[in-house]
Amino acid sequence: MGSYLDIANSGLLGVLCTIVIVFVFIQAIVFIRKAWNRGIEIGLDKTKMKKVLTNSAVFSIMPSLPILTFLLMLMPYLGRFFPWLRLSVIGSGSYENLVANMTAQIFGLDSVSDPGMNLTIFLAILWSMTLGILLEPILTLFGSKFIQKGLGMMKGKNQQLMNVVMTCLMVSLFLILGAPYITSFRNIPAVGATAVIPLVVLITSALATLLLNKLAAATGKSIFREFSFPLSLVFGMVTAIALNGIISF
Amino acid sequence: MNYDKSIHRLGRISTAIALILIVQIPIIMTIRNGGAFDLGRTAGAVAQVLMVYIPVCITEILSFSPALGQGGTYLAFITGNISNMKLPASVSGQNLLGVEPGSDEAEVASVLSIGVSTIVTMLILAIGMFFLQYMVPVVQHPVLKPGFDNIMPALIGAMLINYIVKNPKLIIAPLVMALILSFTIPPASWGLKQGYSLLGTIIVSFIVGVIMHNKGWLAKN
Repeated sequence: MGSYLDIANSGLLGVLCTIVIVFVFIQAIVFIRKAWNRGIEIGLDKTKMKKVLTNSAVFSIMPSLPILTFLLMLMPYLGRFFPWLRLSVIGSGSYENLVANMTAQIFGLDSVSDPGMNLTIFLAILWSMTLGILLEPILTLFGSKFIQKGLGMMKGKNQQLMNVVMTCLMVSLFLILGAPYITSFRNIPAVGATAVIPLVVLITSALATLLLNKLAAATGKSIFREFSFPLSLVFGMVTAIALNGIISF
Repeated sequence: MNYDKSIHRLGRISTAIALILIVQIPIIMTIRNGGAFDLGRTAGAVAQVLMVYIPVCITEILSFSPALGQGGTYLAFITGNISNMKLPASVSGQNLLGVEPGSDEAEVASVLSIGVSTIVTMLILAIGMFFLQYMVPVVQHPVLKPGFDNIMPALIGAMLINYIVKNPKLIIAPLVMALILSFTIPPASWGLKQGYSLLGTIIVSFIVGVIMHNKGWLAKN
């Protein structure tokens, strides 16, 4: 019997993964078309909608690049097709890596990079990575309509309260996702002064957004506002690089 | 058919088809290589993953759905990378149009942004498949690496500031909660407890926000 990687890199798995990716690609286009038509229906300016599309395309480039690192981490052990599928569709870098290693550990290995990896464990990883994450789309399938219906009812009754509730939700989301970065200075004893970088980046990108929005208002040039998000992201990244250089010097 | 009904119909049908296509992969691979399949230990692995992720999944659906909108929710949960890609893209699109989350305009901005973000990620990963040996050294270059390592805090800062400016009083309760939780939960288990932390913070934030609204403390913002 050949290596399990022969199966992981087989044409069959390649075709199965490509089918899913092509389907979701088409799904995204259909959704965009539907939203575009809806935008026209409710009177949104086409130029503004085009700006939303451009802004999202420009913004999405930078966060997509680190996902390649996860692809590189998983490909030697899970073949090229399955990690490609999971990182393009449904999964996320951290989840895929964690679940693959968790499954390998249940089979008595240290991680997926353990020389003991075989076809049995590879098949188990296919199952655990697939079924572990399916719950979210299944829940959206049955629950999303009711969540949105509830929000719609609240919006109809009291728009101002709805705005308060949505702001509380968004701010809570960002603060919990950002909590490890806001308190990153706690890691100073372990990693030194570089521990403050995430907090500084968070503050500088926030200030950059503010500054670009003010600049747009002051100059009347909407381009500053349109690209404030991707520009702030780049500004934050450059700050991290510069600060790391200064601290490490 | 009105938009709300048709987007749910489209979302449900396309999600169901995508799920079938995704699940057929382990099914077909297992049928083809059945001799190597260990049902007992595979079921154990799946059960362990589910035990860890069920609370995370439920919390993410409840908290992300209102932010992503109707169409955005269906698309984001099938395309993945939500907190680091789809949510920021959606928020950025809504901010660009200057619309309130939950409005009809926000729904359009969210779907457009998530759709394009999905396509860009797919294209970059498809290119990456063939040129990985050239692209990864850029991301992992010692000088550039701190930049790529800090994408998430940069995103959070850029997303958060608009809400702070719009309604600074509403940030107090969730900020206090986030700080308390961050200082009490050990960093090693933060990832696993993030779902519960989020749910608790949202509940406290809602209660405080509604009290502030009812007392008229937000009126001057």
